[in-house]
Amino acid sequence: MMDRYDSILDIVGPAMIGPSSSHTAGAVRLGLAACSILNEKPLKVNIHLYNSFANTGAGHGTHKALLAGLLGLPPSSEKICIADKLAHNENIKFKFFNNKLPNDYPPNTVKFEMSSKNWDIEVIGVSIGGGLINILEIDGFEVNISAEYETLIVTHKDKIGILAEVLTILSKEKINVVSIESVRHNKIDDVKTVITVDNILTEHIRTLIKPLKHIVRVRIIHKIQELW
Amino acid sequence: MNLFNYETFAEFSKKLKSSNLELIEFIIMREIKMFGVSKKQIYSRLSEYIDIMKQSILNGLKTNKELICLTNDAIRLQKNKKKFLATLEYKILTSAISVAFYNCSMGKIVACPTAGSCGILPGALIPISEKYKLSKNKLINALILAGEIGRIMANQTSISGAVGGCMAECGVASAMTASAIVYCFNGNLESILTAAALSLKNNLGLICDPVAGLVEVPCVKRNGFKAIEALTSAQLALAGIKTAIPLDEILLAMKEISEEMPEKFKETSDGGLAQTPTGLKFKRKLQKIKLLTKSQK
Repeated sequence: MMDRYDSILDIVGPAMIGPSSSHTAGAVRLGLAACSILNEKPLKVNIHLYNSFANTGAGHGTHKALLAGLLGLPPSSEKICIADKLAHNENIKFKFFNNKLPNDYPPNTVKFEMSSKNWDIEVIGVSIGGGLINILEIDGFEVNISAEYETLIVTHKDKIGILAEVLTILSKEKINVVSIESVRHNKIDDVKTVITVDNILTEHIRTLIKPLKHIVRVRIIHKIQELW
Repeated sequence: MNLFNYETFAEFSKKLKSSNLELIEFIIMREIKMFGVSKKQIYSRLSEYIDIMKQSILNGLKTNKELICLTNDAIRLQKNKKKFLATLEYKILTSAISVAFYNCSMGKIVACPTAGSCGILPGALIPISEKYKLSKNKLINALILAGEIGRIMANQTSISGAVGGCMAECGVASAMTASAIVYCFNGNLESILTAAALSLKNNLGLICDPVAGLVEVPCVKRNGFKAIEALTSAQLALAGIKTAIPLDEILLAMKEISEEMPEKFKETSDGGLAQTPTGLKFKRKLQKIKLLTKSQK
């Protein structure tokens, strides 16, 4: 994949806590994305680090950065250095696992196993460099979410017309769709449709979509990589 | 929109000329058209970045943190009595190393273009702006220019050590900084691009072999070296000295070198300084550190 640099802000910035855009700033953003997917305060988190995250994370503050993201702190927050203490104060139980055995994951990969009051969820993400991230898997389901836009993940039954209903709601709410992709593994399992949009997705949108027939789950991932 | 669609520096120069806009206005107009931002938003964000850059120079000189491989060389430079460099150059060397060290100690910096190379541009530009009493607007304009120079380079090649070695990070940073310095001294577009070309040529083939996979050795001191290199390029360009090979062609060479560069010299720490006996000793030291491997509860 060829990187595209569209803005001068892709070169100058971001303002961030060092030392590494991939191992520190990217790690914060992975935590933020995971937390946004969970949509509740995490109570217990097992964090599995792979490859370069596992090998050099200790010298890059990767552990603190991931926790900072889970606490909702941005990559520029000076509280990242004390994120472990803050997580402790918030009564979040966390445990890190460094996986140094050969695996098929990309260089800077992390797996979050998170529990909140109502949910257990597993999220796998990768820091791809320059502070940019990709969410690769949610509960074993492959996705490809950069969180550069507000993202809606709708899990639904494989029935005709569902997407039309969802898109109608978005259009009535004056939400502009950037991209839409449905993934179906077979004819029995649920379908996951990932929709990115320009506007901020509110809980109101979730409450409009959730009651539709054949909808299993609605997840929102908020934009965490804002340019301007 | 077509006016703002260009890949090479030759196209950039041509479109700039045809626009009848002044250099910085042209770059600002491109951001406005492409992202729907206002000029005010652009100046306010970059003004914030300049404040963080200034603060990171000061903060780096105050931190006593011990890194895995290094202690604070910026403080050492500040206390040193055996100075032979001119005052400005000495301050630039100290400032660049200060920011790079502060970055390593989990301080707040502005990536420029990356975190590993974050000391080069502020290290050079802030002391120059102080000595020559440049206005904040002038400094912001220099940053806008540096951003656009770096952006065109990044799209032709890369700004990632994992793709192009250190020439992609510190090399591009040095080129951006050289251009910005020429702008600060009112050089024309030709000298601005020449300065970038001179710096970039001097970086071709520079590998990324970080000891223990950290942004410490050789990165922190290299930020100091590269800030001085940028000064040299800018001075040569302002003297009207030309580059024998045009900037766009240097980028083609850089791309070729990136592609041919062995993986072990691209941020993997599988070669170079990282695999020396002492380099490996630091790696073992890092592996012994158990940070937060367990919840405290």
